[in-house]
Amino acid sequence: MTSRGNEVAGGTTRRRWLTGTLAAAATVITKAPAIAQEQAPALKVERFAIWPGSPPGRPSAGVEDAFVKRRPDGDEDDIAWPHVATPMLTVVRPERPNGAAILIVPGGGYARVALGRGGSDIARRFAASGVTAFELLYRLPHDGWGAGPDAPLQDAQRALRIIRAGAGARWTVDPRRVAIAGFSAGGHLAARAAARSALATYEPLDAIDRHSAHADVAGLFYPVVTMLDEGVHRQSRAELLGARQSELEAQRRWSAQLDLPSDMPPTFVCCNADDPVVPAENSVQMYRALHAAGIATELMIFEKGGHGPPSASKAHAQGGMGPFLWLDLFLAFAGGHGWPLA
Amino acid sequence: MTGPLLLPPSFAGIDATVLDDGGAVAFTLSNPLAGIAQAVAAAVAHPVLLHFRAARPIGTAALVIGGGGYTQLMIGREGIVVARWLNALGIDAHVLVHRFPDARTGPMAALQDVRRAMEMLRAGECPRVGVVGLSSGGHLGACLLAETGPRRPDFAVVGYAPISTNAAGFTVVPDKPPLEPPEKQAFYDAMRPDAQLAHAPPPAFIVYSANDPVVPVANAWRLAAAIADKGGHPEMHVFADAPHGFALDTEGLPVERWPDLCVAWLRQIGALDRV
Repeated sequence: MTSRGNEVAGGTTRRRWLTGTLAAAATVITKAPAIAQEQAPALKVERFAIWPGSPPGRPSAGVEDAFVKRRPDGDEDDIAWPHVATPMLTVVRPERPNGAAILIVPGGGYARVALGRGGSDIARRFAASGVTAFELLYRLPHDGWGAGPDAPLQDAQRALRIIRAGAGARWTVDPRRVAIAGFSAGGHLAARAAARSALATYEPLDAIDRHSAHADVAGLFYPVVTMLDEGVHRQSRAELLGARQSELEAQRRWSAQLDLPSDMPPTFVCCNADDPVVPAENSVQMYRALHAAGIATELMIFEKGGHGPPSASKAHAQGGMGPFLWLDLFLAFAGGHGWPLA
Repeated sequence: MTGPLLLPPSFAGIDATVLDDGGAVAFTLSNPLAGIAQAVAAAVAHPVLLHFRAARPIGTAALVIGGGGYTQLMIGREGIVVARWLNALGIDAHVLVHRFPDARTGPMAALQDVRRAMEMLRAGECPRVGVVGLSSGGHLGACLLAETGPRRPDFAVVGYAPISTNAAGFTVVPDKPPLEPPEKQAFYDAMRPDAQLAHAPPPAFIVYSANDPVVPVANAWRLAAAIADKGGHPEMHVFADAPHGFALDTEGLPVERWPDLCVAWLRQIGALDRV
């Protein structure tokens, strides 16, 4: 351990103290998965394709659904999709639905979509609060869809419309309480879906498409935001914009923090200061743009946690605050902005 | 260093140390009949440290500095109440009653007091000493992040503090008039913690209200960006809707959870580990 060397070399009380801190943080990371398994109630999970037939703009070369295990020794549902031909929604229904719904958009740097089939721990955590959770498997620009960088946005808009179309009928959902939450590159997609509900990205296909694609509140977690050079996550930009990645006009058009409309919903932003993958700068830029546009917004930057949930979660749990405090904070914000849980 | 010391009657029984030659009356309260949890100093003749020790000390001390804009001082809500909260975590807390910059003391009086307080705590038995400052107390606490020697804290908690938006040339409110008295304006002009940070800052926790009508949230950005520029990883929480001076007792809003977030962070950086 190099930290031990520092301890001897530094010799000061402060150095020893900080060394101990780093060791404690490492313990938190290795133990984190155990927390999630504790609360996995038997909830009803369903899964279905969001488009009738082929999604719009199918490439002539065709696309086949493909998934890979994220880790060789991982759980069999711990998978990611490098190619998506059939965008899907996975619905995790709460035992006692309270009328709130959330569309969860997972990440993967737009190179793949990190999502299993059985409903994630995050979806289950929302469901445990009475929220009907919808997880989106969306298409990837690198498969050559007609809409290019907006193919994932087509899927997000369609998903929001499906939730509203089934509200009060297929699901116990209030159509005025449909939230969106995105993680990593999914945060970029969620932010664009929240900001661009009025953008017609495809020709309406059926009655579902008469419904609004507006999100009533948004949560962005360690999100990719900007496509401009400062703070950019290069993989996401390369995947999203492809051959146009160095064009300033494309960078601006697909930067989620630019040109926010007045109907942008209240937005909660959360990340870790030490994220080595997607710079925290993305969250700061998003927050500042929201604040400047007069949109209600809240920013939580945790010190440690890397690219993922804050590693303080274990410390939160010790304080009796629950392992998903960061989601609780989102719920508290959303509850004060038109998305009450009760 | 210590001399005769007279505290207001409501402070009877509180352990205190005067930070200068002392005098008959250390400070006077604007609300002498209120309990000390609501105490507000109206004038400070001699700087004082009020000691609140943990029942089960873990070896961490905190210098607690309340706000009041350098013309009064929230000894109670942003000082003693904070100290008792820290005591429950095992942290020995020391509430600074600092002088105000004015014609008598000069612009740098409060800075002299906070430096002396930090030196005193470093000479004490706790190997770890942090600073917890709210509002103008956060500005004064953040001034210690410019220090490189023992006066530099091991961690800093800064809430809704005017870091540099009161300094001439760095305001965000258009046509902001100079602050009174002139020594206070001169102090803000001289001490801009975001521009004066020493390299490799200690762990910092920053909490603000996005719609604070008194202290612009821009101060949070400036401090966080400065800390990051110097190699730190500040933790920052900006609540959408919270009043200025939310302290520990603003109930019914999401901001009421900030003390819990702060405890989790203190635990994470090891400040709550027993020495």
